[in-house]
Amino acid sequence: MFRNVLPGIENVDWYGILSLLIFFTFFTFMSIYVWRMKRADIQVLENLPLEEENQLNNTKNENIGK
Amino acid sequence: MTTQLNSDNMNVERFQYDNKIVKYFMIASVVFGVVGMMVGLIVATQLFIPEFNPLGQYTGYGRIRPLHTNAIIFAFVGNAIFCGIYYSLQRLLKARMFSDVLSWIHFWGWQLIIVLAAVTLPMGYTTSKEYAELEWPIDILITLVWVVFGINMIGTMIKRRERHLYVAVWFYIATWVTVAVLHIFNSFELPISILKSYSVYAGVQDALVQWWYGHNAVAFFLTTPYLGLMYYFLPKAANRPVYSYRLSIVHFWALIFIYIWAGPHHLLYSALPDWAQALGVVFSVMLIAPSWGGMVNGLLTLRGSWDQVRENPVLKFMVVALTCYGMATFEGPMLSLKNVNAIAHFTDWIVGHVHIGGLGWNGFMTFGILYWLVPRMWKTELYSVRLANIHFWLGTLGIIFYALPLYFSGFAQGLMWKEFTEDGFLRYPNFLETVTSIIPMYITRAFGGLLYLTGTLVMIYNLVKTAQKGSFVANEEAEAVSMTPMGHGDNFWHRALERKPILLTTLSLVVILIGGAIEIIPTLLVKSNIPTIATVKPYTPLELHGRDLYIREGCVGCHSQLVRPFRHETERYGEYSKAGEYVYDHPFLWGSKRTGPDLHRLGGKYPDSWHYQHMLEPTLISPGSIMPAYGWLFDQNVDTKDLKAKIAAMRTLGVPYAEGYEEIAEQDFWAQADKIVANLKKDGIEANKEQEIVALIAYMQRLGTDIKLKEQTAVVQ
Ligand code: HEC
Repeated sequence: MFRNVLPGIENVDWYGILSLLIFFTFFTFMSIYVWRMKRADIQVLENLPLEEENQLNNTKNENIGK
Repeated sequence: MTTQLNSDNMNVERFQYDNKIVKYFMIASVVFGVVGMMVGLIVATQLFIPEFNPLGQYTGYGRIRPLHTNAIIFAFVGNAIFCGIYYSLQRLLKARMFSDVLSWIHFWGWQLIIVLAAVTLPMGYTTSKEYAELEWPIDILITLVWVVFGINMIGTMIKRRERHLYVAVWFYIATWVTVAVLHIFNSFELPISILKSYSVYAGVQDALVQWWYGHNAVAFFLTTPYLGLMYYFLPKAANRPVYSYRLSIVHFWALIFIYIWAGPHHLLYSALPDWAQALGVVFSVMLIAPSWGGMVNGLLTLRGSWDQVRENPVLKFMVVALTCYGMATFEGPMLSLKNVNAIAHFTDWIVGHVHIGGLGWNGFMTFGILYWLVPRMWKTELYSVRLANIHFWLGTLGIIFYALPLYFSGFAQGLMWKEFTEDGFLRYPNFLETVTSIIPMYITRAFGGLLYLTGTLVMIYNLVKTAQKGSFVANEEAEAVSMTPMGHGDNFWHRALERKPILLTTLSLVVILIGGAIEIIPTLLVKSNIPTIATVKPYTPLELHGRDLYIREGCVGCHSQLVRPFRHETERYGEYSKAGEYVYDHPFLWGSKRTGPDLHRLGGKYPDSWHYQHMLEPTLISPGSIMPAYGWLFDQNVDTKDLKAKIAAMRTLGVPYAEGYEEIAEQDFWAQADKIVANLKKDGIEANKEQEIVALIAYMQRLGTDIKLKEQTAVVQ
């Protein structure tokens, strides 16, 4: 019953393939970006929630500069 | 990045975090949480004591089931999200919220929405679309308040003193953007009167848009904001950074990308196009990866400090929350495999599944955050760790007693529905038999809910005691280096940074729109492609009115209108449902749960008098039935004042009523009512054509008959 619902759109099978293609392209680029992030930057980022709330943290700001 | 920090232009600013708004959202969350759970308990009880209906129609099952879901999702979880975001966002960005005025508009606006929902849903004002039941004026209000929240949040990002946006903030942004898109697209409806509207989509399209929304409401209201909160509060509570920040980035993008595609898994074996169903399945299975990535990232954050977990109730709650998240996100993809879905769909299994998410993931994460937050904001220690542990065990047992019986009943009933005898007959031809056999499970489930609620009350006591012994700091002093002077006088970085939140917002939007567009657009084109079935005609005025009563009473909460193409279903109900049969259904009423049998082929199955008596007292006709009695439909009269507007609106939406038909519609309305009254009289029932039940009978007798008519003609020729 489903197959006859969309005869009007040609090559509707390609929608699925296209979606997966878009996803894998996206995913690959994202992985490369994440892979190439610098360790120092990561350290700054992951410590953001842990900083004492009302205290300056200069080491962190120095890290950013590098 | 080459900017070097120069101590000369280091500009330390003093400011205050707004804790009061956090406190208010917290109180709202807890109060509405208790209300929502209590309503849930009533609903659960009604499934084994159907007469338990304290306020008559205003607490009818079909009307307050949506009240429960809305209260939990938007009031309990919603307020908890805002509470957590307002606390963590300020700290992560080293800035007070952008505008106090907006904060308070957001707070009071959201509570107003909740109160309006609590009034209109029991009164029967509903669009009947799950988790989007609120009528159009409230939809508009939601949009406005959501925009206020967005401006406040992005404004804070722009005036922030921390150049980096921690991953939690990304989750908040994606949440905001996506919920906005979902809400707007799913809420397109044509108003008839101040509290009544029709969805602009019909049938298959309405179903697709609704479940694209429904699924992603789970994703972007119950999941992404909580993941953001997890990435902030779990490291805080454990006092160590998240296990892998890299993983959190992959987690974020993969999750928001994949989630948006998975919606059609709610519509497997339905009249939805095949390719869309297949896409839903594939992406659902892929969802395991990022979901588990998130869970693992959370749990591994605690590696090596499990002794701490044993001591610390905050971490305990969070560990169970993450475990439940892992379970639910494993189960979700399993449920979207077609063969599992064939058994589980429409059963209690799904209800168990969502409660692992709701009670375990959202509930326990919220409790963990509250146990951490209250001592901190009141500058004291938790009143009683022992009570928190008691809460933990009550809650955990509550989840087990809730979910296990429902898994069992869902599985058992799903199998009973499809069981054939050796001679090829249904083993349980009487649907009710499959219901009565699982009623002990319903009782156990309600007990689980009661345990969970009790635990929550213990928590409230504990937190109030904690607050009483501390002193609340409404505005917490803080200082941080201003971000502005970092750029050696040139403004480039400053501007780039300012743009970053906007960029991130736009990127998230693009990502979710790709999925949305590929899925939705072709389906919107379906209209012209649905094979028109010549015998499918628009509803008569009386049937239309009856349909609105069906919507008002929330029959869709227990009855599906979608016969799937399985032998056991066609055997039980009749010919399977065709996409072309729903073209005039604004909104669609396929339903998602079969507590009662499917009704799509109901028309002509019983005489009018059967329905009359069944609706008045279901147990007289079906002994042991758990369907509620609908006495008020017999006392209340139909109101035809909106009839013209309804017909006209339907025509605007493409239903082929002749031009000017609304002028004579009322004649047809009463003529058909007279016929039903005459029918009832033949069976010795004195009815009045103005009674609401007459219109409802007209609708029920119409259901699914267009196809039958066709078959009959085919046979005659
Ligand atoms: C709490 C869940 C629940 C709600 C709400 C509910 N029903 Fe039912 N319904 C059932 C159950 C269970 C049965 C099967 C037992 C029986 O016949 O009463 C049933 C049976 C029926 C049947 C008989 C179907 C058949 O093929 O034998 C009809 C018709 C029906 N319901 C109509 C309605 C309408 C109309 C509403 C809304 C006004 C409604 N129901 C609301 C649970 C519910």
